Amino acid sequence: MDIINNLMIGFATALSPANLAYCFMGVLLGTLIGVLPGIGPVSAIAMLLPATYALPPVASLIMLAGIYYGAQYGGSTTAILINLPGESASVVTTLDGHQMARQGRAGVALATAALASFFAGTIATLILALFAPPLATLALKFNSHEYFSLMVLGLVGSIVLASGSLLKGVGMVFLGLLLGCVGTDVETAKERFTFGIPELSDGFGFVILAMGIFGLGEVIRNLEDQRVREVVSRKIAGLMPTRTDLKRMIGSSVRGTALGSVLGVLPGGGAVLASFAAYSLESRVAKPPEGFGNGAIEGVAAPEAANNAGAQTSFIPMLTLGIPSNPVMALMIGAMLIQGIQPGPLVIQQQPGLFWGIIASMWIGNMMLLVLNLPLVGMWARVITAPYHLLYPAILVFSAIGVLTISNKEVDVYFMALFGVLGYVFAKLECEPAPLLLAFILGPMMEENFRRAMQLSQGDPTSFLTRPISATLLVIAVLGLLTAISPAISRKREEAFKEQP
Amino acid sequence: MPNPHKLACVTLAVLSLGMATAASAAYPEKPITLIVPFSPGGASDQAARALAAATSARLGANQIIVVNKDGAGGLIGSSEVYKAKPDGYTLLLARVATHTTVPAVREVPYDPMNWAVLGMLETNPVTCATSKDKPYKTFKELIAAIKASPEKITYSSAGPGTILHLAAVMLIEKSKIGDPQKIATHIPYKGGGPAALAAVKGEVDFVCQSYNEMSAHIKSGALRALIVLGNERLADVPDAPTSKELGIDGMEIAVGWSGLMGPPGMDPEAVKFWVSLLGEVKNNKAWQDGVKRLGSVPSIWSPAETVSFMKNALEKMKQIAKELGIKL
Repeated sequence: MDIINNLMIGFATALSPANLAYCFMGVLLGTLIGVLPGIGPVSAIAMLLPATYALPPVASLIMLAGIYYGAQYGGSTTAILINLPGESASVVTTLDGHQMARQGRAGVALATAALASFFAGTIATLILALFAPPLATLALKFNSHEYFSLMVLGLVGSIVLASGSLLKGVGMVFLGLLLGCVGTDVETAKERFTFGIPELSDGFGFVILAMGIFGLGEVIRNLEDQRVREVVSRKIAGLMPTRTDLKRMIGSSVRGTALGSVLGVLPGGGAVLASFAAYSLESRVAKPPEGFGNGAIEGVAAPEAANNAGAQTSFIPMLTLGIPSNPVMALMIGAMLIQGIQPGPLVIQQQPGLFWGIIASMWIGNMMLLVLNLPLVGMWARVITAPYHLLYPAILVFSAIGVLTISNKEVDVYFMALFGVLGYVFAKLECEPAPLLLAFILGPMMEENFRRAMQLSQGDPTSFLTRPISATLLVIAVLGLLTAISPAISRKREEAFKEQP
Repeated sequence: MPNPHKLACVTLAVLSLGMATAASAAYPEKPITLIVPFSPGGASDQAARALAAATSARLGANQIIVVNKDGAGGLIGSSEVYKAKPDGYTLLLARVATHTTVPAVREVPYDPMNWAVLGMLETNPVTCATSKDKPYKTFKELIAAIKASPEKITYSSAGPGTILHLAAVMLIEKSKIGDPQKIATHIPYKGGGPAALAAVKGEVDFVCQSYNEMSAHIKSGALRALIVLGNERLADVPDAPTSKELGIDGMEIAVGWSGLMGPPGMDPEAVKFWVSLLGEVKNNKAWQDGVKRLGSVPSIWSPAETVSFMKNALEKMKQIAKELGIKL
């Protein structure tokens, strides 16, 4: 079979000692970058790019790819341990992951994230090997109309994300949409809600918002209560998942992988959207005894599988069409051009060793990440039992440094502090901030694509329904909305989110 | 009332200023911050990092440190360098946007002509391209199609007032087929990458953009280059005619570029140092090859040449923006 031959070529390339070493360096570096809050793979790869000029093309791409998916892996660690999403794709992981940590199940949560990611990585590698060319054409079929309809579907999903009152959930969605309006309008280049502050002309940074509301908000809230000043209970109840845990993870990982693999292919925030979508789907399908938001293992497995699968399938449009689906892929294209390789349909034919080598190295890299991360679980889990007077200042300092390294702008640190206060207010009002964040991402993209779609179709709104992909997405969105507001289901939903006694 | 503490501070400051001037003969004596006013990965970032790599051996311990400070179409990073201490340790990777197109269409917090210009680094010729599935085989056919069906043909840009937008408007204006802002429909995107992608997918009919941003798509055959703006053909797309060959003059100002600049009044020793160092980089084979491989044209020009080019381009762009009523 062709695919076996191809994978053989790939493994032969990826298993050479030098390439193995670069793969290991990549995933190790990526894990470190992911663990440090705020420092994302984009700035890390941009900094390292010139250093790879001297390497052979395969080695440099294997290393850069390792940094990318290694960072997705590491990002979940801080999300689970200290409620600080190190990566935008790990925001949803905080919801149940951190609750698990508070209940003394930090080790289990970390192991779940690692195992789900590895599972997703394995499947995504296979998908990449089998379906790269047909999946790539999907990316080409997504125009402004389709993006708008996808965003509508995502927004409907975000309401499902809200635990507790539906009204509060909708309120948070609207607040997120409003915050997303800040910045320069794409259509007219006019500034909106910037109050003459030049740093606001591109809107608030997503990571700044997420770190403020989740991480800093959490720190303030914990300081208020004398009794829960330890971040987590000092008693660590088992480091590894039990049989029951594993059983619960499987379905969630499969669903997360499927969603992540598809969404990752689409240019524009695939991996981030994938993690949110997987969580929304999970909260519809799975029925954890403790309920979502209270430390459900499904709420960790699904988004972690999704963001890792998405991170890998985002290579498909890059390798096969030369289309970057996110800034990291744009940097990878730069890396290939520097090496004299033309990304595009010809890569598979002209450079089979490179194409299949990168794919094989991803699986090997995921294996390395598992080996690297599982033994560290115990160490990480102990880190957060440190006394709060050491841990909290450290969280604040690392967050501030992280934000500074993203934008190099001091004012962003103040914005983060402001969002920290907002996060505290939300916690006091029992408003779940996840829908706000999703609306904050989706809102501007939805508006931009809607206006563009209308322009392109000369102001004809029926064009959203005459295009098959767009129409299908809208129908699913309407069905989702109907089930969300129908009394029987919404009662079930309230039950699902009911606070634990 | 003079307060002794304050007085001491002032004295110290004056002293250290004096020391700095005295020591500037040994420029550079510490690492140099090169601010890129755009995000990592773009043409400006590539130009900055290529320069940092090419000067690395020569600068030894006092390397160029590339710092990305993006926002507001490049204005945030540029204003910061404009206001920085002109000691030669804070430089700007200036772009066509920060010094030509944006100042042509809106107020900016600095005078684009009042900088310590150290030299041009790279230029990025603009090509107009269309998806391989579109029927236009030549630029003439595209223009004929625009004329035949007003407002139906669309083109993408990275936003109003960007080089992508202005280049297309200029081309249509010079082709004299109707109101350049109406006859073809302008569809703005969030950045140059998405704008090129829209043309690849065929969502829009054409795009005019720096060749380096589209080289991957043109080489793979997904996009067909119809015209190169300016006077010289591109080695990578030898079949695409220049605008001059097609009888359209004055398009050479619609070119992307990256230059090296310092704040106004920059220490003359540091200026001299950089002008001579750029002269060395100009002949650095590794640097030239790296720049070419990314689809840009190595173009180290003297400060005088750079200033006269900038002045001409800014005046013409301002005039075009005024004539066409493009004001943000």
